[in-house]
Parts: sequence; C-alpha cells; structure tokens
Amino acid sequence: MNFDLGPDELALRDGIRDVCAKRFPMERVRDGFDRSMWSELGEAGVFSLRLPEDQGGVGLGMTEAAIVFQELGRFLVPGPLLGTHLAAGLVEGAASGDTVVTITDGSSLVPFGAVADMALDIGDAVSVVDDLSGDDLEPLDPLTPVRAIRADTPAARTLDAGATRMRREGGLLTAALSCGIASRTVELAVDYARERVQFDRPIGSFQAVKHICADMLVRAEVARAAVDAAAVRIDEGDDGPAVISAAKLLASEAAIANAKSCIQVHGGMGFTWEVDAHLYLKRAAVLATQFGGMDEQAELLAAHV
Amino acid sequence: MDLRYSDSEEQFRAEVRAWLPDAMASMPPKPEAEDWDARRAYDTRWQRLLHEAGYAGIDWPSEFGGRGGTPTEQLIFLEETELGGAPYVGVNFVGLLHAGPTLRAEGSDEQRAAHLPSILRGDEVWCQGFSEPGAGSDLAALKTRAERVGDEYVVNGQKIWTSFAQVADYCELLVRTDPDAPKHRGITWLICSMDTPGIDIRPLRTIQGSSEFSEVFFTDVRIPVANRVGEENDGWRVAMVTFSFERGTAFVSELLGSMQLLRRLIALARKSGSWDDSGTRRELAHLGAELDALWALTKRNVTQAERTGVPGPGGSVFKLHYSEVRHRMGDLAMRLLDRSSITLDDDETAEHVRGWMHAMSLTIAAGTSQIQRNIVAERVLGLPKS
Repeated sequence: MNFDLGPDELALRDGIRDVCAKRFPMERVRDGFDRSMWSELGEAGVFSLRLPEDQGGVGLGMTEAAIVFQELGRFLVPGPLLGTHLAAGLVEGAASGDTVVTITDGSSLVPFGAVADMALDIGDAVSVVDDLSGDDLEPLDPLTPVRAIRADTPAARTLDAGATRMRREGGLLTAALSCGIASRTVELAVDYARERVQFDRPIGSFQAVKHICADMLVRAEVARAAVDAAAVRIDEGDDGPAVISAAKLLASEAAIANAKSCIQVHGGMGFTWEVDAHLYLKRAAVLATQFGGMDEQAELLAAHV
Repeated sequence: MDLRYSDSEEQFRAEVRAWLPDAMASMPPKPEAEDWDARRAYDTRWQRLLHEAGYAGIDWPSEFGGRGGTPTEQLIFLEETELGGAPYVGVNFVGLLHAGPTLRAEGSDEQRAAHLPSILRGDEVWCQGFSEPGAGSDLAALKTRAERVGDEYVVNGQKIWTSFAQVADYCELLVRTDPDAPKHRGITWLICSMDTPGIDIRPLRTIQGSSEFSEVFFTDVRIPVANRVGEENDGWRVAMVTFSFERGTAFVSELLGSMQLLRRLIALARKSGSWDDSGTRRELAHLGAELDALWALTKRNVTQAERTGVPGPGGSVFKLHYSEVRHRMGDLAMRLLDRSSITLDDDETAEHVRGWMHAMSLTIAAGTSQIQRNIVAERVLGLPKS
C-alpha cells in the first residue's frame, strides 16, 4: 500500500500546474471559454489522457486523470472539460480539442450549450446531440454560460459506450475539479490573511481567522483523500457506486464551504466582483449539480449501505 | 499511488487472522469497568500474548525488541484485531504509544534496556504526568517543581488527567527545573517510579462515570537524576517528540470502532422505521462517507509516516475531523433514540448514548480542537503567531 503521490504523480501534477499557470492566468480565465484554450488543453493531453497509446492517447488511468482535473479545478479553467474528456475516442476531434463537447444529463439546462459543437447525452445509453439550439440564460457562474435547449431535441446517434461507467467517471472527475477549488481557496484565504492588516497586525494572527483557515484545510484534505481513494479504486477494479458518490458528496461540500470561507476571510472585498473569491464559489455550486446533486449522492450512498 | 496491499502485507494479514481466534479464546472474560486491578491483569495478559506471538511493537525496530515491521503492517494488525473484536491496548496505551516511542527516540541506552522490553512484554504499565490544574492547553505553564539535591530531583506539585495512574508502574513526568527561565526552557522530562514514597493518587470521575483519570499529588518525591530523559531544561522538546507519536496511528482502532458503531446505529434506524425518512437516511449515509474518507486519510498518513519515519501534520487534520464527525454521529444517535436515550439499561441503545458522551472527550483530550486548529494554522499553513 502506498497512498500518497509518488514521483511520477508529483511530476504529472507539477507539469499540469505549470501549464495552467502559464496558459490560464486569471486575466484570461475571466474572459471565459474560447476555442484556442481547447487546442492548448488538447495539446497538453488533457482530453486524450486515458485513451490508449495506440489510439493516440496518453494511456493513463483514473488516478492520473483525477490529479490532472484537481489542477484544472484549481485554476478555474472554463469550458466543458468533462464532456470533451469523456468524448475522447468516441467523437472525432474531441481528443485533440478540435471538437468542443458538452454534456446533457436529462436536464434542458446545458452548460456551454452556446459554445459547444455537440453534447454527450448520458442517460440509459450514451448518445450524441448535435442540435443545441435554444435560449441563452443568465448564468450563475459568469464563466459557465447556460443554454436552455429544446426539450424535444432528438439524439443524433447512439455511441458504443457504457452509460453507467461514464456517469461514474464523470462524477469522479467532477469531484476532482471541486477538490481543486477546495484546495486553492485555502491558499487564497491564507495569503490574504497574512497580508491584510487590521488592529496593527495581520488578520491571520487572530485565532478567529486562523480557525477558519484550519477548518478549510481539514475539509480540503479529507475531500482529497476521498477523491484520490475513489480514483485508485476504479483503477484497481475495486470500486462500488458508493465510493464515487462519497467522493462527489464530500468534494462538493468542501468546495462550497471553502469558497464561502474564502469570501468571509476577504471581508467586504470578498463580496466584490473584482476579487476572484466569488468565481470559486459559483463554480463550486455549478459543479455540485453535475452528475447528481448532493442529495442524490447521499441517497445513492444510503441505497448501498 | 495505490491502495492494494503487497503480497507480503497480505501474507502478514493472513497470519494475524489465523492467529487471532485461538489467542482470543485463551483470554478470560472481560473484567468489570471499575475493577482496575483486574483490568490491568487482563490488558497486560493480552499484551504478553502479543509479545509471545511477535505482534508487540510491530513497527518498533528489532534492536528495541520490536518486530521491525512497517507502519502499514501496524495498520493491518490494528484493522484485523479491531474487526475480530480483540481486546484494546487499554492500560498499555501510554507505554506503547507515548513513553515507549519517546524513550526509543530520546532515551539513553540504559533507559531503553530497562523499559522498552518490559513495555512490550506487558510487564510495565505507564501513565502520563503532563497536565496540571493550571497547565492544560498552556502545558508549558506547568509548575510541578523539581529541585536538584545531589544525584536526585526532589519533586513537589500536582498532575491531573493521569489515565491509569492507580495501576501504573511508571509515570512520564514533566517538571519545572528552572523557574527563572522562559516557560518553555525550564522543563525536564523524567521517568518516575510510581512506588516512590510521596505520591498520592485521587481518582476523578468522568461524565461517563469512569474513574480512568486521576489527580496525582507529589510531595518530596525523590527521583534519581539517571531517570532524566534528554538534558535538564530540554523537556519541552522531548515532550513534542512524545506528542508527534500520540498523533500517529493512535486513532486507528477508534475509527474502525466508529465504523462498526455506525453500522449498528443504521441497523437500529432500520428496525425503528426512522430509516424510511429520507433526511435521516441521507444523514446516516453521509456520516459513513466521512468515516470512509477518514480511513483513506489514515492510509495517507501511514504512507507519509513510512516515508519520513515520523508522523506528519496529517494527524492533527485527522483528529480535528474525526472528533467533529463523532459529535455529529452522537447527536444524530440521540435524536433517533429519542426517549429511549434517557436510560443506560439496554445495551443495544446505551452504546450510542455512551458514544455521544465519549465524543465530548475527543474534542478535548490530546489537544483541544481549538489548540489543534492553532497548530494547523501556524505549523501547516504558516499563519503568524497570535
């Protein structure tokens, strides 16, 4: 047993963190999704990560994918990351990022419906929806546009892919994105608490603030252990549905609670559009609804007790 | 990263599993909770059995009488014995998890030879003399005075929260040797034999009715200078070494026990019909997810300890969350038991009421949650001192 990131995994994490730091600074992220981002992510191997090497992929497993998605979550990389990643190898151009694929999962409210070329519909089977026409709505997360597609939009074709497996992989990688938010918001809060001076000292020297930050780290680390464990167990063929639901539930909660705490530590500035904290909270709220909301995950867990 | 156990680890698990049933069958019935002599006899008998089978001090180096195994093997052993319902470490706790590891790291060759094999054999029981009425969270404010007279220290003062004092042979004792130095720099770590004249033990009663803790009074207690661990006035650093071990795998049995307790609570909820309420059902399932995540975190902490040789800050993170989850679990249990929670007569329900009370100790003992948060904020996150 060796349940901590090994040298290869650390190199992978640092590599993708480096790519994100260079390519996705907050100024660019705040402009929202654009197609050039997708080719850059495609080039970095984000979408083809789990495709076998003989299909032009990187040939890695869920463990590595979860590490990469935690980093993408940290940097709030905008766009339908999950849809395109899950479509790699099934839809032409997804692996390279040339085709932008989002997800519909029974709801008519489709994130990135306006910018995607098509959507994966993950129901009883996995199919492709080409026609994403509809009305663009005011989004909660300014970086996640939402389109209400027509309820009767027909699926263009069914894909040869297991819907259950795909839903679980999608759920876990969504949890990984949330996990990244939970970790990143601790750093932002701690950095600010060290700098911000009130009563002639950094607010981070006050126990009331320290304890908020300590609780944030606890949430982030517990969620990270749950997500990493679920990913490893998928790769080891030892996963039950409860493992994914547990990871998704804890990561969603940690991301939302930590983003809220991050706003609290930033005080009045945390409530402004200018400070990034709200973007983490809003993204965390959006991710919590993907591949089954929190009540649904808890109910799923109860069914497997 | 993997969660699979290696062939040799699985082999070790199989050996433990094969050994356990006969070992347990050879034990007498469990003693009454308040019969401390019988509890000492029972717990040390179990420790002796472990020693004979080669399972005492699994991750202790063999030069000190341990098995020379890995923290992972220690984890496997704790998992198997907890699931098999084997006796707990009990009165051996301080010797095996505090004093022993501290002597290993900081003791002299003579001190190690005198105590480590006896602790592993179950011949020696230890207690802890750290806290005082005026030195709880602010441990370094301790006042118990040790004055050097020739080759002895003469100790006067009072300790509190001393578990198993009434049956202990030795006490790990923190004393003030320099009252004029800054408070962290005048402390010394001593080995005190509990049959030295001048020691008076007065048991305290906990909210659970147990007399596990005592107050211990020291009046002109003479301790040989040879019993000092580390240098004079360097005891604070030695105590920090003790604490790093305390936060290692000490909670593994607790966590696994909590998982089983939750399973029994869920069984009760099914029986009573409260499981049919979706809110209750989700809350119970949610607690299960938290405990599973803590198990994963334990494996992460063990992996890190295996790599670095000492338990890392993950122990504080674990303890903060585990104790919080136990509070939530206890509160939920009390709500579900409703009126049947007001008696402790029925074993099936009383264990949950006791668990609820036990949770109160978890956010206080071994560093309150508030102190743990300070530790995490200052030592892990690097926030400035208050």
